Order: sequence, then structure tokens, then C-alpha cells
Amino acid sequence: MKRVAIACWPDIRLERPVHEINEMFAVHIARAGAVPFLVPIRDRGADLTPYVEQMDGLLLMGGADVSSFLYDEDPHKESERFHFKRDASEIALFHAARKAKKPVLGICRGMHLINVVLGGTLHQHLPDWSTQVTHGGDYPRRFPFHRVRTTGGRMKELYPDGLIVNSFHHQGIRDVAEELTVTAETYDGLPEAVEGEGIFAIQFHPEMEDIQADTMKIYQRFVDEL
Amino acid sequence: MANKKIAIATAALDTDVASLNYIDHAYINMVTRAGATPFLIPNIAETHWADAYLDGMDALILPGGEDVSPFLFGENPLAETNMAPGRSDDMDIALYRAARKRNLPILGVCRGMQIMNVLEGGSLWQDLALQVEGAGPHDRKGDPDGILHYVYTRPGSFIHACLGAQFVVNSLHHQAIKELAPTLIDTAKSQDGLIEAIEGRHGAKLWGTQFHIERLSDQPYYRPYFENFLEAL
Repeated sequence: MKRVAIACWPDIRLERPVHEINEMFAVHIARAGAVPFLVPIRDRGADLTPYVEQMDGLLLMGGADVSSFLYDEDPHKESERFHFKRDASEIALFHAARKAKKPVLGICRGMHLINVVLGGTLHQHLPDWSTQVTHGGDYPRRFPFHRVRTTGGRMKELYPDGLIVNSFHHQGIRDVAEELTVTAETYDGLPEAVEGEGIFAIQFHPEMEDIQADTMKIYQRFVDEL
Repeated sequence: MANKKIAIATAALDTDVASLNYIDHAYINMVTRAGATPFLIPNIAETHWADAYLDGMDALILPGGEDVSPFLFGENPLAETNMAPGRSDDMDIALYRAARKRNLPILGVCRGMQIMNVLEGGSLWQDLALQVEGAGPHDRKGDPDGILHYVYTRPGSFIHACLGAQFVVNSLHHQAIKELAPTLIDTAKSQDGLIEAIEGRHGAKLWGTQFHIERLSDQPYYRPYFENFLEAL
């Protein structure tokens, strides 16, 4: 039985900090046939070996903006509050998983973080850049929102004719890291999927999309390759 | 004690935007401070995988949370009872049974201790203020770290050896153990006679506290409880 580690995000509820996930990420890993377990945010220097030994793959999920300091920029005035501990914990987990050759699936913020860690940069505030395609709005999160064309890799195999995806994100990939290839994009050129050695990362949220039934293919492909 | 892997069940919370699985940071703090590694179990009603979730783990922690379903001990809920989402009960029950079957040590805190008692055959008071005459204060609402009362421990017990005969604790509950299960022994009580800690009989690897030991684990006085729990694994 394959196991997928999901890195938690932080939240403050009733002034008490918690480690948390949106359970749809775990539900979709489970539907694809792997056992999900969750990794809390760990302090710098924590021994991550026990997690890496237990996992066959790693999922980095969505959440708030990635720190702009990771690609040497000051924050945009519209930046959400950065969570440095989460960034550091996920980066350490990403490196540990990669070193052990465990595949990584990145969703939304997860894709942004992977791109930045590997040397890429982000659009800090998408509305400054994108005029044709909007990436969020007053819609239920499960609604298809814009078209995506597929250009290669797993995405082209899974969706040769492209697909329509949901969309709710504030940032996007600007410069793509050297070792990543864009395998899907919007019609105005924003990367919607990047792939690399042991890396499959997407901008949209198939785990919250139930209009186009075949978005489950992405989770299934990730789990099948473990 | 280092590198012990501790599985911790999470709570489910359904909001307008999303369904969340979460755990209070105090549990992570208690486990990592003692040098062990916390693994969190998602709460997505995949109860048939309870056994798979525990593979490779050295112990299970069932944390605090909302009220245990009174149907588990044959009672209708009172108006005062705030039941957890059904999948939380299902998941905690499945994890408890899977852990017990493989003789994995279990630590239950608050709701976790109450589930332990119920699944071992005991019952609960659904609401102390309503049902137990003379019950002292047990719910320091809005101040989860605040100390509320003394507990008195049973000589010869694990908790007595760790923390002494008498000490103060936090308190955040309105339910409590009524009838203690036959496989358990009460090892600490408050002055009003309510059960504040339990341990397994006949070598059963079961420990429970009604107070929140995880929220006391920053204080040196209380650390021996979890450190010795790890040593006992």
C-alpha cells in the first residue's frame, strides 16, 4: 500500500494555533488508492527522516502567498501575510523527499513554492499582469472558470484537447525554474502545470472540482506513478 | 525515546468554505519537545484503513474535541450535548480498535480518554452541571491554559510516579466518566470525586487524562508524564 504525506498549513482559531488541511486533498489521495498521512509544520532543524521513510510521495497543497524573500523581492502591497515557518517546513520536506527520490505533487501554492525553491519567480499580484483571464471571483470553488491548453508531459497525455479548470489564486509563476517544463497554460500564457524529474505541479484545484469528472485523473496519475 | 513515531488523530470541522481536519499545536509541541515524531491521521471516514494508518507507529494519541456520541453507551443526547461530526466518532473508534487489536499503546486526552472508557464498556456523564450534584468547576471557558483545580493520584500508579500525589491542572470539559470500564483503573480524581486519569489493568497499554496534559507540557513539572509514556513504549 502506497502512502502520501500531506504537509499541513497553519491556522489560528480562537487564538490557538492549529495544524490543518482541507480534507479534500486527503480524500482525493485516498480515492486514487493511496493512504494519506499529515505532516505538521516542523521547526527548523527537525529530523524529517521518519516522514520520508513513511512516505512514497509528498503533496504540497494550497494556501496563502509564498514569501517573496525566497526570490529576493520585497512584498507587494497586496501580498497576504507570509507564513515563514510554513515556507521553511515545506521547503525542508521538499528537499528531503527529493533526496530520497520520492515524487512530489504540488497544487496551487505548492506549485509556486516548488518553482521558487528550484530558482523560479512569481507574479506577486496577478491582476497587475493578467488582463484577459481572471483567476478568481465570486463563484463556488468547484466551478470551471477558464480554459487551459496542454503543451506536453503528463498533462498532454491526460488531456490532449486541453481542459477547463476552476481558479482561485492570487499569485502565479513568472519565471519558470530551469529544471521545470510548462506542460499546460492559459490562453494568455500563464503556466497552469509544470513538470520535472519526480515533480508534477498544477495551478488549479482538481480536488475541489466536480463539474468536469475527469479532473480526478491528475491525482490518479500521481498515485499510479508512486 | 528519540525517533518514536506517534500517530495523532485529528478533529473534523465543517465550515461554509471547506471541510477541515486539524490538531491543536499543543499536541505537536508535547510530542516534539520529548524528542518523538508526530504523524497526523486525516479524518476522512476511511475507517477501513485504520490499520494502515497505524503501520510503523509506536503509539496512538486520541486528542480532545467535541462530545462523544451518547448512542455509544445507550443514551439519547441531552440538549447540552455537542456531538462531534459523525465521521470523527467513526474514525476515533476505528483507530482505537485497530490500535487495541495490535496492542499499540494509546494515550487518550479529554474526549480521547472518554472514548477509551466508552469503548472498553464504561459510560459518561453527558453534562456535569446538569447531572452531577456537588460537581466542582470543570470548564474554564476562554482560558484553556488556566489552572482550575487539584487532582489527587492513586499511590502505585503511573501518574503518581510521574507527577506525585497532588498537583493542579487545567480543565475544559462538561462531560466526564460515569461508570468506569472493567479493564481500566482510575488513577487520579478531583476533590468532587470525578475521574481525572485512567490506566489499563493487567498490563493493557492504556493511559488517559481528563485534563489537557498537552497544554501543560511546556512546564517542566508536567513533562515526566509524556516522557515516561514514551519510555514505556
